[in-house]
Amino acid sequence: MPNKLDPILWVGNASPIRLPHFFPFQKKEVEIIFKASVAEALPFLKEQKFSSILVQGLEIQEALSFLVEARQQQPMAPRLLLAEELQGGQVQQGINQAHVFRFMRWPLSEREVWSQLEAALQRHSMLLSRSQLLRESSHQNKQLEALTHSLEAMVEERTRDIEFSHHEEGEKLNRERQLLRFIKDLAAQNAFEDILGVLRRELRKFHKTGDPILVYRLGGQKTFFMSFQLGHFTQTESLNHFAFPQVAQVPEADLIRHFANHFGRPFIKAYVVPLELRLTNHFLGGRGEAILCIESSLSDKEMGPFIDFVSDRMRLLSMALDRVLLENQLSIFSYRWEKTFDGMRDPIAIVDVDYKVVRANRKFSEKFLQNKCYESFAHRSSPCGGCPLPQVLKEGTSQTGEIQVKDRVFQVHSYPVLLEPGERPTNVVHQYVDITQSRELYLRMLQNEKMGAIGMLAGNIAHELNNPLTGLRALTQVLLQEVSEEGNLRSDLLEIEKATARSQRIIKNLLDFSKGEDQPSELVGVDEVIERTLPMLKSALRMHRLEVDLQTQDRLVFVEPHLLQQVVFNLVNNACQAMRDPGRLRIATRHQGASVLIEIEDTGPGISEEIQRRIFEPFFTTKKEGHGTGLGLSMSKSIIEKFGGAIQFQNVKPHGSCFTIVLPVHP
Amino acid sequence: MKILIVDDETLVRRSLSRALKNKGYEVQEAVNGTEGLLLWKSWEPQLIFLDVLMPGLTGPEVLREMGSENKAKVILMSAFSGEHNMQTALQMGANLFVPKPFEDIFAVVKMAEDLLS
Repeated sequence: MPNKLDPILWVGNASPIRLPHFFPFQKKEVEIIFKASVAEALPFLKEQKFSSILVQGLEIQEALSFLVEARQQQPMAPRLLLAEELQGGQVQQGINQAHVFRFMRWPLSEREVWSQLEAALQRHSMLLSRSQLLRESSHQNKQLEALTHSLEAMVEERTRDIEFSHHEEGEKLNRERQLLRFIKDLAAQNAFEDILGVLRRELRKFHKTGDPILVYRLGGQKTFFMSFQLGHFTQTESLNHFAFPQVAQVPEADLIRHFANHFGRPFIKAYVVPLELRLTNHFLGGRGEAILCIESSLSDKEMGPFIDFVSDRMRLLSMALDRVLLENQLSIFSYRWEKTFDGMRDPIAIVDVDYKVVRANRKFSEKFLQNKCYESFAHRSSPCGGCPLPQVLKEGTSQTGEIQVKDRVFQVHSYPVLLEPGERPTNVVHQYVDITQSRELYLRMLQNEKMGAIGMLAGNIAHELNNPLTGLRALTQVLLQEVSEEGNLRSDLLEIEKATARSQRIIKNLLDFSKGEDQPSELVGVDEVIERTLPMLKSALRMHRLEVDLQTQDRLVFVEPHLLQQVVFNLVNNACQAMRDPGRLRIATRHQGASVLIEIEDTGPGISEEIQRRIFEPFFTTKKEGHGTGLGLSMSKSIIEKFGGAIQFQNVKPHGSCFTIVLPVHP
Repeated sequence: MKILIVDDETLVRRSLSRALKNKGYEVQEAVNGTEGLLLWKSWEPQLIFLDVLMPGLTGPEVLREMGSENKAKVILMSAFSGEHNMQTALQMGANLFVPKPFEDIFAVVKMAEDLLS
């Protein structure tokens, strides 16, 4: 409730009653403002608020229209009308138009007026408080509404926030997922093409980017370009040098020009990222560098996400490409080594301590893996005799040995592979040098030298013997002429003459036999050659019975007689040595078609099948070390083959073997 | 007719000497080249059997010493037939070459007689 009520407006002449200037109302004093006429009161209606308005003693119509005005101006002030005469119509009008609170008939007692005024003021107070309440409640309503409104806004904002962060999280998760997939994709790739392919696929979402181009250099003059041309992976190279940018950037025109020149097409805009080749550089000694170039026509606004995208992936790409580069370099490296070894003349193998082949070159064997060296190289089931491997493992130093594989002799150079100094070797490198030929040459040379020495010795002996033999024989011949025709002396002299003649023949044979090479071939009878040879085999034959059956007197062969002699000597000598117990040696010659056959047959144990296979191999010998070179039969074979013939052999029943020399008859 | 035999092998000298003496020739023997050369000078034989390989002067050396003064016929004998043959013997001034060992001494004597006649 306001502390002070607005004044009461009294319009009219209040002479019949005494009117105070203040009216007590609820322990307050309410001022009463008197205005004599409507004209006087009207302006106040607009200027001041009143708690109630009373019209008295005025003409009814005038009073009513004033009250209508008062109602419009101050609806909260109850209106009272005091009149002497009031008609029903006028009351009606007053109620309807001016909402008059009380009609009072004039004159009336003071008390009545005060009570009516009191009621009016009460009404005014009620109206006032109601209106205040209304105002209050509407204000509170408004406040509530505002509160509700802001609450809604807040909720909305929060919702938006949550939605936004949810989106952001999703985005982030998505990005992580994409990166993870990218990593997985990259890890599965082993070629530039595939790795660039993965990136290419990822880049498609930007629409306005070209295919990635990988450019690298490995310390040499060449720059390599890996790109997609017309959708196909292409590798090109260039000798033009240009500096690679060291940080990610939109490159300068200079670099772009290099690209344009190389690919022969315009490059408008590109983004270049340097790649770090950690592994490759470690391997190459820090000379490798690489960049990735992506063409793009992205606007500045689109460039941001693109750069984010690229920088997210750059490290991963670097690692993947580095790995592939290293793999390539390693495989080139190992390919080069492989080719180097394959290109070598000698077989080479790396074997482990159990003879298992780890690696080998082509010369060693086409198939070596999982096999032992003696299996793949020598086709044996046990280590080769003379293999230096055990010695290498024992000593830890390089060793050399000699092994025989079929008809070849190899010098094996064995080098230990020491991964850590001071440790035991885990592998051994074997280099196999074929020394068959040089060894054969050496032994042949030795043989020739031996023969040469024998020849010279024989020559000297022959000369020394020939002189006295000549005299002996000549003198015997002279004596034979001088002695009488009959008698013991003559027959004795005859025997001496025969013996000297035989001695001379033997010496001549020895001289022929020991002649060096380079003797001319001549036409000789095989029988004659054998007859000349047999005397020299007397000591070899002394234990055995000799059967000679020569049937080719009229057939001649074109040979070097002393070489044929050597072959016959060899075969007979071998046959005698084969018979440990006294046996029978048969030498027979016969002709068969256009050939002459010389058969030399013994009654020894025969030749086992294993030895038969190798009997003509050089250096193959069953004799004790130092007792034979193993060259006799192989040389015999090559001599007879030189004459256009062949040597065959077979075992004979019940025991023994037979060598047959076949020679073409001279037509 | 005087025939000189120069050879270091006694049996060769003796057999030739006997065969020739039996035929009625006058024969002298020298055991080496030096002795042979002296006899060739002092005795003046018509025919000389000359061995190639001898200690001291060899056959060819003896031939060289005699040179163009020599009027005797020379038969060069060698057991080492590889080095010498008829052709080389003729070049050195000999008249005949006989390889040793000879199969038949009488064939050699016959050749000598043919040379002298």
